[in-house]
Amino acid sequence: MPCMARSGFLTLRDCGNPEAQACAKCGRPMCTAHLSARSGFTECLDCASRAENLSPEDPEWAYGYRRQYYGTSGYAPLYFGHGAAYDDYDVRSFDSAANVGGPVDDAHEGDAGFGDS
Amino acid sequence: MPDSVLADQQKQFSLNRPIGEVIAQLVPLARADEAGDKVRSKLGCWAAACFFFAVVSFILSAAVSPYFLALAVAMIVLGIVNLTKYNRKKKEDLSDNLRLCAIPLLAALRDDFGSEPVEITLDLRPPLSNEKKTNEVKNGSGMRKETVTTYVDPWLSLDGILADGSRLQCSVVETITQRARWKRSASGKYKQKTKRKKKVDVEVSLTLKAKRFDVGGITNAEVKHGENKSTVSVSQKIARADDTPIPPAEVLNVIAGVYRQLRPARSS
Repeated sequence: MPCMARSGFLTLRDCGNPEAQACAKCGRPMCTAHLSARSGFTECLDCASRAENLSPEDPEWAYGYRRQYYGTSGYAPLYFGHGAAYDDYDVRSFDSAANVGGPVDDAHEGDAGFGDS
Repeated sequence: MPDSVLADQQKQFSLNRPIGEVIAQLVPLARADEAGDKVRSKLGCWAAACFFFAVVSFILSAAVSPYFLALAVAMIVLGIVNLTKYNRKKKEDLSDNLRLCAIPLLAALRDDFGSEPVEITLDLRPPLSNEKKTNEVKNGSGMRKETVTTYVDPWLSLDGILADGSRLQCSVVETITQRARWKRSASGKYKQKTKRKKKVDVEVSLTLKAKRFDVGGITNAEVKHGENKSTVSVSQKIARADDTPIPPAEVLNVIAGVYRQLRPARSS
């Protein structure tokens, strides 16, 4: 099974890396990059980020902040992926990934990011 | 875009690196600044305490024993030493915008920027430094005198490609207005009162791929349509009753405000 973590803040996308281990709390398959080192690589970053007193330097902090921001601001990110709606967030997903040319990893094209003059 | 550090000594940085490296470079600075703030606070307290005990010792030297005069002199010397150290530490002070806004903002957007280089310019000189003073007006005279000082602090500029293929450009400029006036207290003493207000201008420009995003639903932003891309520009002014740093959510709200109005593009 591929890693079921969702990366991003403004938009979400699938991680897609091969599973290393299932999260001990939520049971979702996770790759090593999305397992928390602080939990001894037993919990995913989403679950581990529920701990208090994390500092922004900690990679887990961003996951906790994301959850808090979505909850307080009502922001529902666009989801570029193949999975079902995200567990914790009311994402605005695409009708199908095919509509936008597949997962977002293909985004780094030659002309990306340069505006028309 | 060459990678450069403009001048550490001047507290101004221009970096062009992956966001993880930018954060890694800024975190030690933030830690040092936080530690410096704590030390400065202690030094300030010690200096005040020394001067207080110096006054008490002077009184006791006249009333109780002349030996207290030596203690008073020692306290003054100690107070001056602490004050000197305090001023030296103050010169090393960085803007709290780094610790309380920039690093959390960059950390939140870390996954969105991925491993692509991000061009970031930070001005970490304290917002009320003389270099940022742009105007000073003195009104009235004597005890009714009021001084209005304006500081302009363009402390953040960010430009990078997001993982969804969009180009995000963001800048934050703060304008602090400080009013200082003399007031007579209930006990009859004249004291200078200072009040500060802040206006924060957050400007965001997003260049979005037409094949990925439909910008037709955007209403409260300037949209320039191109053949393959559209550029959405939005500016927001945030007023604050004090001069504390804005939380990162205020900047994210402006960026997310554009994303909220986007729709997925239909395949052609």
